[in-house]
Amino acid sequence: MNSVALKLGVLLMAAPRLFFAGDVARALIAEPRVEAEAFTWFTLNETQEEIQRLLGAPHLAAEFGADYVSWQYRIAADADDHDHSHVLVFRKSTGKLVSVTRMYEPERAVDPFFPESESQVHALPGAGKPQYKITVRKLPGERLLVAMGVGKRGDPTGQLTILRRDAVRVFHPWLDEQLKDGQSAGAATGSR
Amino acid sequence: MTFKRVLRASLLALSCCLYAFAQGAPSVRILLPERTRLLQGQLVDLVLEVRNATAVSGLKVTAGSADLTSKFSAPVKTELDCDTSSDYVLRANLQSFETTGTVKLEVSLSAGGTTVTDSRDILVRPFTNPQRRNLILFIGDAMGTAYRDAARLVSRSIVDASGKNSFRDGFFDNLLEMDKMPVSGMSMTYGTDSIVPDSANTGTAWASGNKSFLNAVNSFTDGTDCRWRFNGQQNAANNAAMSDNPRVENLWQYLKRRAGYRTGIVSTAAITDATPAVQGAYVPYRQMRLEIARQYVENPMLDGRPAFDVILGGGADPFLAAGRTDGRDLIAELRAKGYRYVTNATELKAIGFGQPTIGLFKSGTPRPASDGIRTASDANMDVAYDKLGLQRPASEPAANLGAFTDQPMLDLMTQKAIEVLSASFGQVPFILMVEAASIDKQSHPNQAVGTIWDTIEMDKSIGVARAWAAQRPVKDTLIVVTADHDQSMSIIGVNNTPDSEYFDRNKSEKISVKTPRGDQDFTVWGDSYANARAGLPFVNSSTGSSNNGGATGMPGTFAAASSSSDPASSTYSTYFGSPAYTMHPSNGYPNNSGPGLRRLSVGFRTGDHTGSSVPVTAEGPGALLFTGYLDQSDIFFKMAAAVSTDTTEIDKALDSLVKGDQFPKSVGK
Repeated sequence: MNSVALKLGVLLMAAPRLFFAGDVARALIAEPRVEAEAFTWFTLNETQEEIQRLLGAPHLAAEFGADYVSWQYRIAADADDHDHSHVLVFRKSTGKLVSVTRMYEPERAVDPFFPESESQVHALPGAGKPQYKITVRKLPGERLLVAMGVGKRGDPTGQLTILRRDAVRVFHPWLDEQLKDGQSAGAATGSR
Repeated sequence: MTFKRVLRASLLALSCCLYAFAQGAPSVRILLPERTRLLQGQLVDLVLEVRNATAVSGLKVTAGSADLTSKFSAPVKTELDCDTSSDYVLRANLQSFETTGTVKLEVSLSAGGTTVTDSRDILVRPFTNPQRRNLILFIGDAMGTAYRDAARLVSRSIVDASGKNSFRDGFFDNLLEMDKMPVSGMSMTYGTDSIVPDSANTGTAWASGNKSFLNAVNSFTDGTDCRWRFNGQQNAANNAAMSDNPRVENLWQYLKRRAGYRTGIVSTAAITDATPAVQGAYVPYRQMRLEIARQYVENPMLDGRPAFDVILGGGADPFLAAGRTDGRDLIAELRAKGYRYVTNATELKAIGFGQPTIGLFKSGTPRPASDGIRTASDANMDVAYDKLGLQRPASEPAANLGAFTDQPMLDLMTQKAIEVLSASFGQVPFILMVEAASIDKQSHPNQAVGTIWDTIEMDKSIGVARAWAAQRPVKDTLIVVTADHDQSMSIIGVNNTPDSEYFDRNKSEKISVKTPRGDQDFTVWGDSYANARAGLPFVNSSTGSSNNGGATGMPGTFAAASSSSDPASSTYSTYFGSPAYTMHPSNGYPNNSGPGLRRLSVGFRTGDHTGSSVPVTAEGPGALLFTGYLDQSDIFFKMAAAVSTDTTEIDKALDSLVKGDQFPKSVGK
């Protein structure tokens, strides 16, 4: 049994009977959350078939770059008319899930997903003032969780992304350099 | 040569071959669409992308007989396509072509020792004889034919005190203002990457004459778009990749720069929304609101001068220091340049002629969004229906103007914009865009009355412009009315649902459809016969036949007959007859309540844009250019031609068609 099916089974057993399986499955995979003090969201090992089974067909699918395809969903009611609530990126050649971005509208604080001891703030290099900051948490399985625009606890974000560590070089080369060099602008605390 | 040396040389050669294979063949690409069309002197960034090259040398760029090589910057190593290949970019920003006709742009260079080439045939249209004509463009956002029809059926089916309906036997006594304009055409709205476009790439087409991709504002695609487009990473961390797309100049900056025009934008949206943005900004992503606002004040095509003489709309946030990441107060900067600033209808009514004006009539709580490129709220102006104080039907959210109870109507904004722009007494012509934005914004959530009354509001604005142009001693003003794209509303009949059901927020019915992927839940309210929403199953309560067979008649609920639990009793459904509204005695808009009212019934298939063509209507010098089935990008060239060409002969021909009794005319025109 794969991890998605296992989690789905557990949640279905716990769910009230009035929940329909499809809704539960969607909520399970689509929304990041903390369960038993563990961050739970996409593992990035989900296959395209599993995702299509759980989330249905994407609202928009588009190939981009040399080897990527994007599936974009309007799962959550908070999606703007011109945006999507969920953006999933796959490698075209391997079919592997590379990243998932949850677009929040309106923005919200995501502090519970970023324990201070496991999170670092990174600042976009350059002369721009104030510097653009993001909060990064390293997750098991060579994954990163990134809250865009979050420089201190309590800051809201509109973009929460989970991505493979090796995809950082492609989409955010500056962050890749900082991660390799062990640089950061400090821990994600409320004092910054 | 020893065996080892031969082996080493062979391995080296093999590794080079493998590297080249892995890299792919070197190539160069001019980042212009295949069918690039420009006006003479229209500015455009010429950008070359060189792929799979270890080095670039020997650049040669020609445009016909002109050598443009020296215009280009040195090659800059750049990661394109989000892969590992070695790529370069060369730029020649803000170039233009003065020779008209087809200009062949040819590029040749050495990419790591391999000669690569590319070319484009660019059609350059003349702009040589400015006619000092004014140009007013009305954009009904999403105003396809059904939206115009709905506005006509609601605002021109008016029952007077004697009981006479102004819509009788299928004829109107008095058509819409836009219906009365003599020339009509249709505009195809496809983008470079989609048949269902958005307001940004459609705006790029009519404002710059060139097609582009979804969300793009006067910008073409490039090889670094993969950093931010389609992956949910549209944020300041990718600013570099979002600031390098080739730009193409729009007609507003072109006419100001080349012919001294005064320029204006009026919109009921936040003024940095996509439709107004295409008149004054150059960004590949429509939500770069902070940059769009900055470019209104420091326009890149105008050497950093402001783009407009008049800006009227919603969305003050990205102009305020608190709303911006750079902390600049753009309103204060404009005021320092001589602009006046107004914030409500009372102030707008009081303004005199001439002085450049910025009026922003709605704001949120200004702060930059976490993505670093926009503000946390868009703050569009409220819709006409709510500004008029009309009661929303049960299925639509009640109005909430908050602190913004004195917002101007679009016709007042149009009138004031024209007064300011025309204050030179004809010495300096102007170009103005007026957008009714919430036809689209209300159509997304299927809010019928919000959509329809906004279209009526826009028609009144067109009336203001037509009346102003008609009283000019010289017929020097071209008015064009069109939409950027369509949406899915249809005209499906009339209904006589009583107010007691139409407005009743306490009575609704839940419909739940179980599917293998989850429940689909819908709520039916008593106004459902007037507004068959996309989410609702289109079930005809008078028949048990399958939807697949094509249900006819009005949509209904699942209740078989009128009952106390059915919020929209089928008793009141009717497919026949005509709408019958009354007119508000002072504001000139139809009432949407009262005894005996027969409302228009509309239905929505989706809550999104569609790929249908949209109508174009024109009046004034050069109007005949807008007849026929057009591509949307033609509108740009036809507007330019109308203000730069002697159109006397075609104007005479049009007059002979429209005036006098020689040829038939429509009833109500």
